[in-house]
Amino acid sequence: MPLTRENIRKQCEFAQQKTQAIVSFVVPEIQDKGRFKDIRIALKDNISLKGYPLQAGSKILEGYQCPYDATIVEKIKQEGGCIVAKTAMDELGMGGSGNNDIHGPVIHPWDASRIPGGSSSGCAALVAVDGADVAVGTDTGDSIRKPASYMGLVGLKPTYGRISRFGIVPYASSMDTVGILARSIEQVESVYDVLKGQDERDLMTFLPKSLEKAPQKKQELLRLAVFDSISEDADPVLKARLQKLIEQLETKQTIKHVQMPQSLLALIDPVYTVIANAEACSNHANLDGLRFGLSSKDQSVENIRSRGFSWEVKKRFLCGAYALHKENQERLFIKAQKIRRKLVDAYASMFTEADIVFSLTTPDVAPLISEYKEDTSIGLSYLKLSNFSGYPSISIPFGHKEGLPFGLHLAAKPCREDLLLKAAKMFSQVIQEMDHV
Amino acid sequence: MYKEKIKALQNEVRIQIDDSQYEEIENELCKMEGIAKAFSKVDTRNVEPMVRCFETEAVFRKEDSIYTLTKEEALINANSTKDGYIEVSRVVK
Repeated sequence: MPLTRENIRKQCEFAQQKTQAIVSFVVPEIQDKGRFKDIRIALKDNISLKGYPLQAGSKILEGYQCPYDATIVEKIKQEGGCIVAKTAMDELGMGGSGNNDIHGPVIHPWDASRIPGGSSSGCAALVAVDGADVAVGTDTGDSIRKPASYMGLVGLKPTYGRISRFGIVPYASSMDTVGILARSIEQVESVYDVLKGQDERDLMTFLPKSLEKAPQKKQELLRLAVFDSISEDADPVLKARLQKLIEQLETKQTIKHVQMPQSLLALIDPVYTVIANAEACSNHANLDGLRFGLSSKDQSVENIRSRGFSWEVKKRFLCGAYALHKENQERLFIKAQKIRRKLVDAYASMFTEADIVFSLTTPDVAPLISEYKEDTSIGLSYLKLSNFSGYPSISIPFGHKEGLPFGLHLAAKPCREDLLLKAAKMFSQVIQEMDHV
Repeated sequence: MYKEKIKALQNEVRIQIDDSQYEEIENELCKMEGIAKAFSKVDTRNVEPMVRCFETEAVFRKEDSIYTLTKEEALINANSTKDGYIEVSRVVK
């Protein structure tokens, strides 16, 4: 179908009926040159697009119109990308269900009784039903990779700092990473190649020279390791699929098996809870209605903030403030940061003899909405290791259980997206071979 | 037990909660104490806090001016403006 405004609008409206993924329809600028020519791109609604509303799923930003473009939006426009929509998300990135108090839940396109995953729920749903070719979102704990797994997409979380976050609403700044969702690895790769790079407006993009100049010699055979500790409690169908994949790979090369102690893995979620809530509480202290967003001349900041945030977010802020409180900071926040280092050191040690560490992205397919609660099992919380460490990772389509997709997770060392994407393509090929045997 | 702490936290975070919501926040703070207890069992002697992913030398931006918003652009989202400034409720009572 040719790229015209009318066709794009029809596609978006159809996608919206199925998924409720869109919060703002964008008037598409169709250009005839650039690497993104003919590519429809959706943006998570925490990314600034000049002239359009940005709410990040929160009432506190009601009425806010972006006065500037995020760096990644400037790059997309320079390369002729056609931005078609801003998409729904869990409030301020804090959530994994795809639900939201102000615009309602994003609907899983294959089964409306299941969660789509979040917080980049709208991004994933829109790409899954071809309302867009690519979506750009953010991943602080699993927010690109989890919905990618649940909706059968490719979801890349690059190295921390690889892509500028200037113009993006923060959640937990020591972990926030811009990510990309698409239906193919090649599409993700082409967008990543354009979006990455240093930006003086986000100094985290100036990565250590020792990492940036990592050996780039041609490597024919990737050293692979499977992260055994993760899949122990996974659904039997998914476990069997992983085992079949390992056997298929072992016909061609040795696969190492790597583990981390369960006692350490059990600390991932509490460490994340403390650090993320503390950083979020601090980051969003500026959302007070004084300069922008929900406001009223006659109401206090306390009143505006109380009306502006959902109950879930308020709880997180209060817990975050508790962890930062002077009498608790040493034993909660600083201690969490120390345990984060221990976790990262243990994670990094798995890569001393492996280029790629792989595992199931999620322990099961998307859960039922009626049964959903925040899942703190190791099979899901381990995704946060990629955020703690800054290592790049990707989820690729792996299989189906009762018609619902699930993903395979690959991780690499920092700044080795070259190996990660090469591995993703190789694994995809092997998965296809498995299914044709 | 946590009532006074919750009041103090509300002031720090500048959020008000109803009395009916105190119990739920108490439960959350109890969970935080449970986390602190679990943390206390982890040996972190000689371990430095990890503040961000990659600990590098400080990066300094060049002294060239970069584009910033004009005053008019910055005021677009203000609920009320007066004489080129954002107008807010009286804060000093």
